Amino acid sequence: MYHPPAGPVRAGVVFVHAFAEEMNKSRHLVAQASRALAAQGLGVLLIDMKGCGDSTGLFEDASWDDWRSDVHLAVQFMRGRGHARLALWGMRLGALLAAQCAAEMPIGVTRCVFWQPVLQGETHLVQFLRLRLASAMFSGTKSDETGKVLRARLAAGESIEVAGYLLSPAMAARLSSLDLASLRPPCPVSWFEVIADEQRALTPAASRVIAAWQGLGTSVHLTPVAAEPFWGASNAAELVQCPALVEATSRQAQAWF
Amino acid sequence: MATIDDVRSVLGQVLQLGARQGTLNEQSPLLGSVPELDSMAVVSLIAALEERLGIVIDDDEIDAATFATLGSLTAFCEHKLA
Repeated sequence: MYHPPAGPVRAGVVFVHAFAEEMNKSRHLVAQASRALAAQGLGVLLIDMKGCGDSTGLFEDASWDDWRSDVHLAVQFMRGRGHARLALWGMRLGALLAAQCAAEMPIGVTRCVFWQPVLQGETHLVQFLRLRLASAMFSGTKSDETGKVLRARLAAGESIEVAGYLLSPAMAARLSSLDLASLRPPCPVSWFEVIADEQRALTPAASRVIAAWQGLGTSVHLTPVAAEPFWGASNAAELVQCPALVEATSRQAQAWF
Repeated sequence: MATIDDVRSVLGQVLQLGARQGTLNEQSPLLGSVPELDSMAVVSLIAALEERLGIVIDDDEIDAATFATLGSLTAFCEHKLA
């Protein structure tokens, strides 16, 4: 899905979506933000990576490397459309993927934009597997399953179904190895982090990554946004809203290029 | 701040309850009664409680009885904090 810019083109943006249910639940919000960016003269490309959303292929057949190729292809597509200046905009796990891809590109992107980046793939995997444990709680089926049991089954080569997504052992292993701190992008970073209220600081873990990158010479512009945690929003029937984040992102987009 | 206020505030944030947050008391039923509390919300709620209260919740503690009411969830968190 391509949101063409209103008026003359200033630059292009490629969106790298979140993982599984987080992608699904944030679609509406991302579309909203994309329209706001397009109104500022940015051409925004939203892709569904292999096995995700409306894309072809099965979720369980997709690998992390397939997704990396998808991002590279999307960037090539935008360059083909004449976008010399490009930003990679990644949400949650998509931020990790965007950071990795940014470092691999032969022609660098101009900027990385992160929405609530996942810092550790391992934590993300643990939380994803918890979805299955939480679902069991609702169906009233008391089971002895724990994250440990599920991890052992994955390690033994079994795929595990979580909230309608079949997680392959290869994807689980890859996710667990990802560490944002080690994937420092070779370009300036705009980092948006939703916090409960203005009085609350950024999590120590996120602050550490930012400080480490800044220490190595990467420019990181952090924007804390006081809002509700949109990525884990609960009710699929109600569209996830986070106007403060859309507003902060589109306000800053002026200065991205 | 009493633990129940922390738990209520995290609940209100994660579930985006808005004004309804203020109506929750110890007896208020959660699981199966608050429509926003689906499995994804439970996972987000656990992560938010861990972060806000500085506790670690184990997988085998994810139990329907814990999430039955605001009171039961608060008691569980107080136990973890003790």
